[in-house]
Amino acid sequence: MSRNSFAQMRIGLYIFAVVIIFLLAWYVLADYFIRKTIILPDPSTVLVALIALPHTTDFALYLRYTITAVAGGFALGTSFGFLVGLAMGRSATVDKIVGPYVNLFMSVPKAIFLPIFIFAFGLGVPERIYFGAAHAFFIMALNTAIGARSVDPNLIKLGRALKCSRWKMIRSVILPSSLPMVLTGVRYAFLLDFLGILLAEMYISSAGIGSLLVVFGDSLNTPSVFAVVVIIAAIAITANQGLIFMEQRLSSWRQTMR
Amino acid sequence: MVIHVAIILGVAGVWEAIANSGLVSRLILSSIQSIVSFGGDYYPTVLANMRPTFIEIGYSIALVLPLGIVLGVVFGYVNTLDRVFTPILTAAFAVPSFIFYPLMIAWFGLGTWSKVALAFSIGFFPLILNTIVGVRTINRTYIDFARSLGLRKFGIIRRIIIPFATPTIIGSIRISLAFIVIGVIVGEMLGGYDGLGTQISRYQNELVVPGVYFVVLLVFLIVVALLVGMGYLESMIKKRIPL
Repeated sequence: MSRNSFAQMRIGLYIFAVVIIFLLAWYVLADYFIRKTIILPDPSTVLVALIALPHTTDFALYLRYTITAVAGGFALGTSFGFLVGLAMGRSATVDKIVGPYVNLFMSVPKAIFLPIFIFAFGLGVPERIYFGAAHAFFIMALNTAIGARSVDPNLIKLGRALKCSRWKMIRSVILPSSLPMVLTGVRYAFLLDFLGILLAEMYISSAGIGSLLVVFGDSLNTPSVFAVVVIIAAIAITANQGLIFMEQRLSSWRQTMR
Repeated sequence: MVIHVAIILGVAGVWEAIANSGLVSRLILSSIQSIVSFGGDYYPTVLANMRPTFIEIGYSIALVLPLGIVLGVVFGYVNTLDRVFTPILTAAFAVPSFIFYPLMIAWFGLGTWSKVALAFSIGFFPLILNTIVGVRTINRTYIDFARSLGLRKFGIIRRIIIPFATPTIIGSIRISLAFIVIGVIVGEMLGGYDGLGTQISRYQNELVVPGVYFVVLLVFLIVVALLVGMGYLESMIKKRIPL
């Protein structure tokens, strides 16, 4: 075993230890100090609530609503974001006109516009995708623009010398070069889209996993709130790690990647 | 510059024209005129609700900034801490903090502290993660050089790490502040006694449409002012520290 992978294993062990210590501390705090399930249920109580959760009414339906909305918002937001980002990255005029607004709305958390979205699109499940899409759009556009801007100019010159068509240029030169940034954009777009959909569900508090949090919270069913939190966290962390893995795999052919 | 003034005026003109044309219901879009006149009539209420919001934002900033920066510098500087905690923090950052709000209400009540807790959980992770990155990306040569001159741990942190990481840290404070403001407002929107966010959700339930637009635009302008101000500060500091 090489020294490097040994060090890697030691770090993995430390991370495992931190997680175990966290769970133990949670146990001790819940069972010996707080001793009120309404405030802090211990991990085993949460596990019981987690196992019971799929049997509660509407859970499967609500999960499907949330997944549909997240998928719709993701598809809409990333595709538009990609196109606008590509235009910003490859055209100085577009960048000058659109760039400042994309940058500004990228930094302003979109959550504040939720009430306006509700006026404009209503409270229904399919309409929530617009709010998710707004979350996904700006980060996707910005990352795509950065990626498209960073293409080696020599490759562009080479493509021109070979008389590549515009389409061929985008497909064979610009896209492969900007892939890492685009994939990072995709990852953040997913996370923000998911956040947006959950927030809308919590605020409207009907139909969706996010609304379950509010419903269980209002009825002081804290173990079930924890169970829903665990499910959402599991989805978010799994998706994030999966997309990070994909980023690394798909850009490993680039020598310049760190 | 001219083009952006034209764009903003154009958007405002189209907004006003659509709102007055009757094509879109008044329950969806308020005219700018009615939003402004709402502000003129109800500004004492809005001002009264600004106070609790700003107090919550103040508490959140006082908690997030020192903890995020100090822990970020320490985790970034100590190699093992970085390699153990950065993956954990990255995973935690992927989880939207809003989902903990019902628990925060159970723990801290519907008043000030549940909003501070939410704003903290939203503002803390980007700040500590970016501070770690800022410290990690400092050229190792500077640190080795300082060590060869006989500087110890705290000397290196004070003379090398802090000055060189400052631009990154200021940049992440900027993002973190925007998150804190929105965290407080969204917390109030999801449940609370007073504050601008509570005002938004109350107006929304009572269908006081211009009221919703007025408070949302007010919060938007506060965030934009904060972002622009911090961006200006960041570029000033970057000019002073040549990298």
